[in-house]
Amino acid sequence: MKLKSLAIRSSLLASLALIGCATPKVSYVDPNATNTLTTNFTQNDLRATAQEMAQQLIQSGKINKCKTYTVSPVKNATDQYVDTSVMTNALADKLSNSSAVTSNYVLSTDEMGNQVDELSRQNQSGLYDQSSTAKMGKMKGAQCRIDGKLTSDTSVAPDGKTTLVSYTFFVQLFDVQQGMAVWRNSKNISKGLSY
Amino acid sequence: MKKMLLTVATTFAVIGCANNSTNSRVSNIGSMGDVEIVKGTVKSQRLNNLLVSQAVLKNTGNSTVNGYYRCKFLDANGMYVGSEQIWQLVTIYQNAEQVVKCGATDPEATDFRLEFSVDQTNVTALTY
Repeated sequence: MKLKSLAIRSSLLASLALIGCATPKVSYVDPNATNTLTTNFTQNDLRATAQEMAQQLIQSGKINKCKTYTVSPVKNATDQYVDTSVMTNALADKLSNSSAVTSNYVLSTDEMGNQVDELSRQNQSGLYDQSSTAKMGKMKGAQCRIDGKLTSDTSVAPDGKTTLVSYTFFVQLFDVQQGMAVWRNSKNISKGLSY
Repeated sequence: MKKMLLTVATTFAVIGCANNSTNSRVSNIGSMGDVEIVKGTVKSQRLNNLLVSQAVLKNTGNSTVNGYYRCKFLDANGMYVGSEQIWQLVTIYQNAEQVVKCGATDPEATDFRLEFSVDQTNVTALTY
């Protein structure tokens, strides 16, 4: 009996020691590598789709038909939480940093709050030398607007062991005054999970 | 003299064209498996003053292959232009060909390198 108890204790101790060895490991990884840990729309997917759409728009040359443009916040029509500001910013970054784009980026609705605050501070607080302040009513309006929308569709197999999630990112460039689409395109991504 | 200059210019033009269709611009990350580059299909041309590159890949195997690719662009001095791209998926069905295309977003890009991997683990950050 004593021997049996000793054996149980020893195996328990050995198991605990083994569990103790499995310590979590943290490491830096390539942010451009693929991410297959989830079927959710990840940061990689956000950046990849936004960058590809921006690249297609630049290559079409249509953006240069607008003197100024802005990017409206990308709409999330999926059933997940997706920080679409990453897509909005990635689109604006790629377009603004390309030397092939002669059109100028102007403030979006999201960035307007800070701009109005700054203009009000400079012009209405009475604290500034008025010859050095940025004047009201001088901002440039956007001739064109970029609209984006992300949608998803999930299919689950009858046995529940396989899931397919398809995402579509639509992008359109509109002439603001005429309400006319200048360019439009979409990019699809499908992710599968099987047990 | 004029004739000689013309001959030299023609020779350079021919070399230029030949460079556009070699596969020295393709580097495989790991093994290419059953995927091969179709001869003479690694090409580039300028569209709206921006370099567009493409290659045709063929799967000679008996099963569908999921490959991963990305492009890097270089300027006339051989310096890389733009930021690092995210790996893109390309599915090549058995005995089928698939075109992979990349586009530069800066007019300075004059040349490109296409990176390709058939092994997902080579281009995946973490697996479980």
